[in-house]
Amino acid sequence: MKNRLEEIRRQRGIKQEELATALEVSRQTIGSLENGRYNPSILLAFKIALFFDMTIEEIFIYEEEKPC
Amino acid sequence: MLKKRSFYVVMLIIGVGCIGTSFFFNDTITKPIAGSLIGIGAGFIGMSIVNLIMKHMERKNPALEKQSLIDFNDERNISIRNRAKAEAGDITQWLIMGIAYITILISAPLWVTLAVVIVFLIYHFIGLYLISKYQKEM
Repeated sequence: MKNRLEEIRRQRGIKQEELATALEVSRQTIGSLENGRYNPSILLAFKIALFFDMTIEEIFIYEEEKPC
Repeated sequence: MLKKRSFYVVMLIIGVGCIGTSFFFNDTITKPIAGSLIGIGAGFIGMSIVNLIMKHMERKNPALEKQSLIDFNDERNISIRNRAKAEAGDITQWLIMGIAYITILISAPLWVTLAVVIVFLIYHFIGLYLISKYQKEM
């Protein structure tokens, strides 16, 4: 799953630390989300969407896995 | 798990109590009990002191306490912890079986081998019980 978290955060001029504090997660979690190494739970995805006043689909882009 | 300060104070008292009690087991037959009590006591004391120092530092610095709470409840950290515990458990089960074979190779008493095999079986039964429990819950 891809996401536009870093792009949206930068547009709003918010630091990773500030976003982490607002969402009550660690800064490393924000970094991992932005790098696409970690997919959030549905609860965290909702929290992120609510924080940016956007929908989950506007931030997270679902991509079907290609069969090998 | 994050515990309250009082929990570590109780652990510290139990640790000191264990070491104190060990002095009553000083004859040849009960010496292993004294050794075990000293080991348990030292472990409890060490763990309690480290955690009490951490709690003291957190109390002095509320920002540190908040960060520590956030890190503990962070969903990615929880996921990492659970994954690490599960993998460590998986590795441990094979180590237990390895120990069982070693006890056979060194001709250890039968009860030792049986005890190790029982631990291996208990591990699997707990696993099956938890799978069934979580299937009902989720």
